[in-house]
Amino acid sequence: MTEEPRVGVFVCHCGLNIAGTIDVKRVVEYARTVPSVADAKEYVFMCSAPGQDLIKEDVKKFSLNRVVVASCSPGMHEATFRACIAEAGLNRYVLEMANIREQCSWVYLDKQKATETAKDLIRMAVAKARLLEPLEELRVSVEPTSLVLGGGVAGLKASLDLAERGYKVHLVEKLPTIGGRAARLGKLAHVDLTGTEVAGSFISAVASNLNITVHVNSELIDLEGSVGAFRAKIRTTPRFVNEKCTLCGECFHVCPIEVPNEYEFRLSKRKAIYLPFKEAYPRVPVIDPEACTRCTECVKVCKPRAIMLDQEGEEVDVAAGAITLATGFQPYEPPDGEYGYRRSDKVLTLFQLERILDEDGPTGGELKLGESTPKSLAFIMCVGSLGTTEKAHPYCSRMCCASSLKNMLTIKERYPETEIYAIYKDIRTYGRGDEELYERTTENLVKFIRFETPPEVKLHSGRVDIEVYDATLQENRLIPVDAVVLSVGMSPSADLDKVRAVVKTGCSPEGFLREAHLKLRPVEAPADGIFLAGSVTSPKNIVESVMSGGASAAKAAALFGKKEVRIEPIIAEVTEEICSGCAICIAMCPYGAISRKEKGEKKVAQVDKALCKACGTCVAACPSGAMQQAGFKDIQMMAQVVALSEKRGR
Amino acid sequence: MEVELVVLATGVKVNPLEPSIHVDFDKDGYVKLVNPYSDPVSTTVDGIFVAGVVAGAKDIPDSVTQASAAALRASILAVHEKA
Repeated sequence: MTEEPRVGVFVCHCGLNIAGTIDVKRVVEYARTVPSVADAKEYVFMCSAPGQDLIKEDVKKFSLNRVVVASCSPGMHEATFRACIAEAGLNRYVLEMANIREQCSWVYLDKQKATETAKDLIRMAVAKARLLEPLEELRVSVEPTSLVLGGGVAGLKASLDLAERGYKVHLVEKLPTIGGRAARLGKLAHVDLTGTEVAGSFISAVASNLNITVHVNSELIDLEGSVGAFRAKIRTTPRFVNEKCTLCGECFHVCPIEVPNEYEFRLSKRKAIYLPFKEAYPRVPVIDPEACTRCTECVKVCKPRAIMLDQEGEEVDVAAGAITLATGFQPYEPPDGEYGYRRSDKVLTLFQLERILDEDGPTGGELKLGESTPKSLAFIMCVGSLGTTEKAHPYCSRMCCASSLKNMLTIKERYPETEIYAIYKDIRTYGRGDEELYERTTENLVKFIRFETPPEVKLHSGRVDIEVYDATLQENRLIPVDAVVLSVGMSPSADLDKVRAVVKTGCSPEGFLREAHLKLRPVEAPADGIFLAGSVTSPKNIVESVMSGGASAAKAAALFGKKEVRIEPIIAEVTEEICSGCAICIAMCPYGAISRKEKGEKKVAQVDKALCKACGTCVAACPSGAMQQAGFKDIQMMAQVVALSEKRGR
Repeated sequence: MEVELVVLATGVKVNPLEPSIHVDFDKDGYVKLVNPYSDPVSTTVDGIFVAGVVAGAKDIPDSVTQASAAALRASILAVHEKA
């Protein structure tokens, strides 16, 4: 805008919120004397329809080309007044707000001081408004396809709900099967269902849904673009076995290689060619390239010739309007030797116990450790949670109390004579119906011992001694048992940093992903178009994970329904003539929005307009002033500061 | 213990629903879910969904999450009805 600035100032009473402390009449009279001000008006509620009409009429009558509204905070009504001046034919970004409510009338008791400060704030706003430039909004059309990372229950639910709503989904899972950790759980609490069955119902629904493309053995390796128009690169590592396989099982028999079975938490072994578990999808075996010695025994016995040891991986590009991160958690791994972990087969984790009690597990559901069935068991709870040890997480992992109690009840049901101790720091059965589990364990004579200092586990041949200071009885106790179960909590997935390196998004001090708003936007990442589901944000049980999967799908569906997204132009921009290409801004940008490009002889920074969130970090960091924030340029901010120091007109 | 103020950390109680809504309830008065694990927003009546404390005591994030999940299930139903 090269024309002479003609500023209109509109002072709001906000009922008595402002007018009760500030002499609005005097402020309006003063505003008329400020340079470039063409007119000033007051109204009881400027945000109301008549208030907005007043602004629109004045814009026409006085040929205004900048507007200052002196009222509440921009967070409250900036959008309202931007829309108002747009209706009056102005660019929506030639608006400046002077916050004379939160930053003035609500602060002062003294009317005189409040009125003088309101004048200062308006003079400053006018000084900045004079230099405001009209800005153009970016419009991006939305690709109604979702990319879901993680094939556990949260990712499966997110995929299914979106597919049912009619949108296409690319579901990416790093393991050779979908199903996630829930698929490895036995009987669930409160229902006559196993985790395998719940995951299995999702798996079969996903397998038969034509809107969902499943990429197993796959990872997201590159991501470009932004909300509405992401471009993702997915790398799939070879499976070495194709769909011609009839699952005859000959290859499993002849394979000479045995490695610990990670799907059974190392309780049993698997071959180098294997089907991860019975309900695995795709129902095609996979060869573990790290274990396989290429002996070709499997190839020789495969009648349908389904095995291809020379198969290569592939990369595909996928266009997606939204991304859901549902990459899950990993069980807390106690350091070697902590509570006897990994030093004895009499020390198990909760996840291993789940496998042992599962009819499809390595012991066929029999409570057996090696050859013997333990007659007494101690659960050490809060392992890895509630800061019980130096390495433990400070948080509560939410699911381990209910899960431990459920397994105690299963054992009591099947082996009523088993003596069970629950050695706990705290019992938190907050979930629906979970308190009943606690009541039933006490009825079933599980003995609860509360600790403040973590118990010590002493391994003997055929027996484990637990030494613990009972915080309730206030005495030391020695508890000899046949086996120990460590109720381990949930840690952020080890791969999360890898995911974060590709999908730039923030994490909490605990290492989980951070939500846009802890309370009100729990399934949205701070960056637009990126949604969060399941335990990627914090420990969650199955119900909570499924719920957040559905919620993340709702957010993606709402985005797809818009067809087009508008991106605010209040973003950073580079003055290429000044930029030296030092790249400080690139390292500072939390959104990965800045890169470098060749510009004649030199390299200069460039901002991806769709990725920039206008945080201003790069602007502050830029040593040469080449980086400027639209709507908050140095020259505009300085004008405000200078106006503050100018002598007040009386 | 001598104090100047006592704060009672009281629990929550479900608000009773209109009697015309014929969904099933559990013994605590919360709305019963058909399958709490795989479909934690659906009641015993097709087309009636739940969000928040009506389906069990919850905090704000969990209520907000369940609300979004329920909204999408309702929207899926609406789209399929139209088709």
